[in-house]
Amino acid sequence: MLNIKGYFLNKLLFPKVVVIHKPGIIINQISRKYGGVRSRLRTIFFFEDIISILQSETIKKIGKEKTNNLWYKIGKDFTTRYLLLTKAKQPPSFLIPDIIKYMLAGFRSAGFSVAEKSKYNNKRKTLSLEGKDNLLCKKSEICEYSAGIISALMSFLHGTNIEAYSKTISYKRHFCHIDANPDFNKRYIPSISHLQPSKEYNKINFPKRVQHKSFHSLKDFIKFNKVNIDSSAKFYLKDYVIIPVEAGWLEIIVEHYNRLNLKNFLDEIITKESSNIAKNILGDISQKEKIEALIQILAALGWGFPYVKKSKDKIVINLIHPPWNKLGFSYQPLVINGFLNYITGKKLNIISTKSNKYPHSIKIEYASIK
Amino acid sequence: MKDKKKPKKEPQTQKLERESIGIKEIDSMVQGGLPSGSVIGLSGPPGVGKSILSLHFLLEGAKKGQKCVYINLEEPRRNINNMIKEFDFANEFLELEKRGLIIIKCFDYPEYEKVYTELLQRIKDDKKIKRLVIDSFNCFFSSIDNPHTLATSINVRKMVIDSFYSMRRHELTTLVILEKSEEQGSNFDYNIPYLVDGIIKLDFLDLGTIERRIFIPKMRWTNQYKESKSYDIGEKGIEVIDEEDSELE
Repeated sequence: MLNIKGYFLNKLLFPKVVVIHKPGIIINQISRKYGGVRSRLRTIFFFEDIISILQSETIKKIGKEKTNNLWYKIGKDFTTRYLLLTKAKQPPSFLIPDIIKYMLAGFRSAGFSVAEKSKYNNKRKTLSLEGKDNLLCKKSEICEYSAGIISALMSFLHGTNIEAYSKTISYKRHFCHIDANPDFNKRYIPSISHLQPSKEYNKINFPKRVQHKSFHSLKDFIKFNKVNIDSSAKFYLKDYVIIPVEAGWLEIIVEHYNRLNLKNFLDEIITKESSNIAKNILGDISQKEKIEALIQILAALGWGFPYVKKSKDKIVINLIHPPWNKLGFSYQPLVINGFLNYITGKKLNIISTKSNKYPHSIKIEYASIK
Repeated sequence: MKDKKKPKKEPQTQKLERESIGIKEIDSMVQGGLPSGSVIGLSGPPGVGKSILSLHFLLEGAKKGQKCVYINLEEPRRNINNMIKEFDFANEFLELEKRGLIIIKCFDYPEYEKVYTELLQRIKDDKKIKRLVIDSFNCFFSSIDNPHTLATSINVRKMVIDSFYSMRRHELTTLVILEKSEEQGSNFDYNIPYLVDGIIKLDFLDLGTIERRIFIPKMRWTNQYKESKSYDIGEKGIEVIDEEDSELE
């Protein structure tokens, strides 16, 4: 007997995802027959450690409860933006249990083991999840970020706001438990209009013609064992976990920190941790070689095509075809700042940032302030 | 009369003959060497060491008393000499050339186009020639629409197939060098990866310091090493890095 439900799910509803790794540009292409959808996400890799340490330091700065709330909002905004970018359509309710299973399997394959155990009640619209060693929260214990993601997903699937809460079961085992329930009090409603990608997103992020000197792709790094993938699908650049994410997510973090007047704090943490990472990744080679290595790392992680000009007083980084989104471009210059601080042995600051839309490029000037 | 039962014959298993490349770590990736009589593609971007690997291959054959031919279609003879002289094995290599065990022929493409049929036929007929290197095969493709040659897309395809037909004979092992850069589309291949019996890929990563790796994705009649290996280019030519030793405490 023909399994119509299975056919509908596999052939029409579940998206086909193809990741296109090119030097400088990584594209997540998602297509779905249901609704005739094809969408592309400009993806970059970022260092998990920077965000984990940011979360831990934020707890010290503003306390655990406020940090949890902050990251809950970031998780919910990120997922809402992802659903908007992928033009997700609310499915029929009888298919929701299968879709949840599919999504949780997707999380597991992306290194979010939050979904090792799950319990879903379609009638009551509740979901309980348990898992350990999740990306980000395994180091910082902030499970609320994952709770925000689950809240956004449940809200989308059911067409009504459903909040979620998390708790860490045991610090040593990095265990997260998340509950989503429509009866929970309202916590946060994302702004759809703000998170909706601009009409120019595709045009700017996916240039038709790209011709630049030899840069390496992530595939080259994997071939040369610079990036390794473990059995739980986590990517490692040297010893550091790197996570693929739609580029706008990093700007969502910056925005939320800005709202709490924590922008300077954020800048400091990102720059400092990037510098520590640079020290371990670049090692003991000459300055010229370190700059060349930085250029190739940025290109392989999908940050565009970096060109570096060094003069006596300043360093100018010209990023050609970096990821673009209407939320801004603050995160990457800070990471580059950290790397340059290590490379030069000086404390540099961002002096200016100029951008051009077509073709998309960003020029960042760094200099040490006397 | 008693039936005389003939003794059962043990099935004869013929061990495939192999030609050593001359670098033991690379030979070990292909069960001791390239299958004798095969045509192997050697591909990689410019500067990665393809011509140098082919020198090792020629030298190894000549040391065994095999007649080896090197056809270069892109560089003049003085450039080849300069390349050879960079390495410790230069004297030995040039001595073997004097003895007639290594023959180096340099052509530019229009010349080659006129003589290739006859040249490859002579190589095919001369059973003493055991090793052949063509450096590089790309000249066929870059000559398309060149007003000084007769090459068009269709007859280049024919030339490629004819060349492969000529190169295949018993005991002649051929290396064809394939220059490849990112900008070239797949059409440039003319199905060469399907025509060859094996492919050796060289590639490099420039992360401030240059790293080179060798990978063998295809080798007929061989259980080839499935991972890649790092190598360097030094005074001895290509030196494969033992990755277990290179990890520091």
